[in-house]
Amino acid sequence: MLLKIEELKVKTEDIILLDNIDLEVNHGEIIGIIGESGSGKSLLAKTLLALNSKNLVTSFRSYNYEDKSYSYDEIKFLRGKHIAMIFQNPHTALDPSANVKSQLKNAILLNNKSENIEHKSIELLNEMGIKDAERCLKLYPHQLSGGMAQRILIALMLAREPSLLIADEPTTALDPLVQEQILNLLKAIVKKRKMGLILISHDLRVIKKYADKTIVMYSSQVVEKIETQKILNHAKHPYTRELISLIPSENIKYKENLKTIKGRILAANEYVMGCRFSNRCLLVEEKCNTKVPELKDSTYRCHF
Amino acid sequence: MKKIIRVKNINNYILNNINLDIEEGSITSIIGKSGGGKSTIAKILSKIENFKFGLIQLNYKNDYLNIEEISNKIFYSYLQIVFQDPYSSLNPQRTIFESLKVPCKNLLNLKNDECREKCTSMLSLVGLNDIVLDMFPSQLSGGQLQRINIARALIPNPKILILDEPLSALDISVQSQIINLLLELNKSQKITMIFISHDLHVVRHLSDYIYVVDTGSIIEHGKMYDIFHNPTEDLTKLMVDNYNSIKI
Repeated sequence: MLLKIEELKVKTEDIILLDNIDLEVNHGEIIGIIGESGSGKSLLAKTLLALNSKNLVTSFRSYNYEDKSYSYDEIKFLRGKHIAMIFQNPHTALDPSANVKSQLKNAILLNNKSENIEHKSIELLNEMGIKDAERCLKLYPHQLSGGMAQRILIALMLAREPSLLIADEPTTALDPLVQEQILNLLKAIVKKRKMGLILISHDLRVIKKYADKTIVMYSSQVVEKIETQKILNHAKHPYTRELISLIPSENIKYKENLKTIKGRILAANEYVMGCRFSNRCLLVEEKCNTKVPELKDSTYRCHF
Repeated sequence: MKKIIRVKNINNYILNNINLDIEEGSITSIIGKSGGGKSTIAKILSKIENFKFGLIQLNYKNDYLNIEEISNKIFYSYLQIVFQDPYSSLNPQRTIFESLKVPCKNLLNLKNDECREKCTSMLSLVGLNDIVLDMFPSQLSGGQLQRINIARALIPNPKILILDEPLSALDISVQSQIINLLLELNKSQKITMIFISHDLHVVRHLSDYIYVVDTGSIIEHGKMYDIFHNPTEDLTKLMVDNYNSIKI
């Protein structure tokens, strides 16, 4: 097991932002995390690297990385070298005043001071599918397209040879062709290096195509965990099923109104006694409003 | 069908010889790779960026007028634009009413109480309650803010709405709400829409016509059905293949 976290909670003084999250990632495995904006996906990613602001209180029963236990304060030692993160907008993640060569050099030196920097840089860029690596080393971020910048960012992250990569909406800002190239690249690297990848997206089509397992988040909670290949036909939580039904099928008539989920996601400060999806659920019954559903068989959080 | 916008041989630092004809009442999508010039076309059409050569004409009261000859007040009463990021499109330090009041006053010369009435009716058109008028952007979700941006664009009762990636920052459920709203506005208010997107699932659902842009040039255009079923250019074929490969 690469990473195992149990009962992760993040809260402010009186608002729960992440509620008892359990997460497991194996070597060579891609875990997809999907959910609406505000469901806690990005906060979870930041918490895994202890990047939360100081006004948030983070607690967990256990945080095990490669079978070693860590406290919240110790997680920072995992950043970069063991767990790396790729953000949505590569241009804001790269240093605009330094060329690719210099940024790669800094990343490689952090890992291994004795390495041949030039050779390693070219090797990394080649692994990213960049053919003209020597020319690319001289470029500055503003000279790179979105897809190229995201490849450079991935190369920077891989320079320290982490075993777990967290990609928070890594292709949302990119067009579908570049999106496919980047996601194919990430998948190939994960499988080749036997790394773990946590892929966060609000696009079920992306998760369906690339993730081995899917975690569905809703309003600060994990509501379903499922093998991705089973998600279309065997998802049990009403939110997951609604999410699947929102993808326009082949049968939808041109310009016909698309299906939506009624109502809106509860804000973290809106307290309810029961299920946090009950205000939008088509199956809602009395007990849904009064009793919090547990995660049944560790797979889905619903009374039914 | 009457052309509401005619674009002839537009050039600037990104675009090469852009020619577009937009039919009145239609939804025309502009698709293509990131960095290809889609948003630059939107900015040029809405007078946010300049062009070096060429001609852009609006059909205004059955006359074709060059856009640089139309006063901003008339132009922006006729054409409005909605941007990609709903969060950065509204001033975070102003209430929604304070933001929406600006076009009411500047374009329609309304008084304060008339502004409030106008804002309320526009919000109701996009399915929002007037409670949001006294809220700040930080108190609203992405979907609500994008509806407010659309409501703001609708205040001067424009004939043309340019939408530059209006859905990409939104979740699928909110995306569906906004798509339904756009289709309804196109049908009921007869608003001509220019829709810029790289999501071919959405483009296929709501477009009448499609223009494909690559490295600053229009490489292919036609009716939605023809572009999806008989693409001729390599990029269009690749995009359609990609669309077919990620269908669920």
